[in-house]
Amino acid sequence: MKAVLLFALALLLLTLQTTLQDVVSVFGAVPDFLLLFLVALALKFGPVAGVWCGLLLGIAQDAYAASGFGADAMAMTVVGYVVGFAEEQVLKLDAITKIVLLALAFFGRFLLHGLFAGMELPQIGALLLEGGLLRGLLTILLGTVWFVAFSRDRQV
Amino acid sequence: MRKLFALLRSAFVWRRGALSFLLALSIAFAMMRSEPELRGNVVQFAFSTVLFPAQKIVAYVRWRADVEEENRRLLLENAKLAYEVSALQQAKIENERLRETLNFSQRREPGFVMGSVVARDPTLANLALVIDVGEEDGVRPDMPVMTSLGVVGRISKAMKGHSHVLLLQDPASRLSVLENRTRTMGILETVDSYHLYAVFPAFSGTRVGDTLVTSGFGGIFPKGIPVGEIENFEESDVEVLERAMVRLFQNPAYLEELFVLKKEPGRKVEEQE
Repeated sequence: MKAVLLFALALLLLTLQTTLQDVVSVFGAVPDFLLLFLVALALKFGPVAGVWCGLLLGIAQDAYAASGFGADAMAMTVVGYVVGFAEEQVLKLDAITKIVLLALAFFGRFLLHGLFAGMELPQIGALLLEGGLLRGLLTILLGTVWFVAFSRDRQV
Repeated sequence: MRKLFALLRSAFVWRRGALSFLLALSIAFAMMRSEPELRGNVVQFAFSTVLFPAQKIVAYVRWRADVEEENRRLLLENAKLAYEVSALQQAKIENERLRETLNFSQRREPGFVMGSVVARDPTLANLALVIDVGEEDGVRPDMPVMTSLGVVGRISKAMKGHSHVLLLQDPASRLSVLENRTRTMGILETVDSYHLYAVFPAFSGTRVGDTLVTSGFGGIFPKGIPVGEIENFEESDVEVLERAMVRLFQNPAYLEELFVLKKEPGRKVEEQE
């Protein structure tokens, strides 16, 4: 049942990310809801869920991308695994650590996606400055709200 | 069956999911190395078909919300256009008469099909769109896509009830353009999906503010569709060429309704002399 709900939520976020970009954008940048979902899921359910969820979300995003097919699947898989693994092995579950992890996940995914798509580092850097930074900040801001709101019970 | 399921489950969680990770990475790697047919026909088809109904509903709800304001604006525009049409009809008659005099063949009137954007490429690059018209409406791959302001891109994949549009911002898109004032031909392209530039021969006389239209070369876009305006010039790596940075007339971030120009694949629509 939980899996079905999570799948439905993933579909809803994917629909939101692909259809309401102009509605949810701030200064032209849209938060990365799918990455936030992936990080939250990997933190909650561990690396295995993170890997498969990352792969599926990555494939879904690749289905829309005109070029660099498979790059996002690869990047999201790595992010899902690393976040889930870090949560299980190394880190404590306080909200600040989760936010730091989300920030690392965003920029790690950005870098990996660019590299897997065949871009060079200066190109990835330029893309980051053009809109990636703002998108990252919005995603981290949204994640902060999410993690602070939903991690109170764990910190007590 | 239950044992098999348990075996699979234990394999997936083995060593903190290391096997799952390797398997998922292999799938992603296989996708990167896959043939374009697999990409287009299986993955894109599956995901865009599954999500299309939901995207269509969201697009419809938004459309309903905007329709009243849009209606008021269109009524006003309609009044203006009715006036312009009467003037253009006169011009058309005159044009036909002059064509006859000069022995020009008749221009083929291409058909249009209108579609709404229902989804966008969710990545930062934003290089592709999904529109709600497809093969059922006569849309085919490589048909030009435009708005009343100018060129947007071309159909990259047409499915039964929806299609994928490849925008001009994709590095794979190259468009032959014509500068309106000097009639210099150039190539519009991009390497980073953000900055579009047109390459012209050096000393072509083009300058900031000049406008670009499609040249009709290449067989996909007909001649004369507005493309964009030259914003500034950058130094070119090649001495005999100059690079003009171009601002598109149609900002791809604000696309809602699009027109697909229906034409037979591989056949030029532009006027033939």
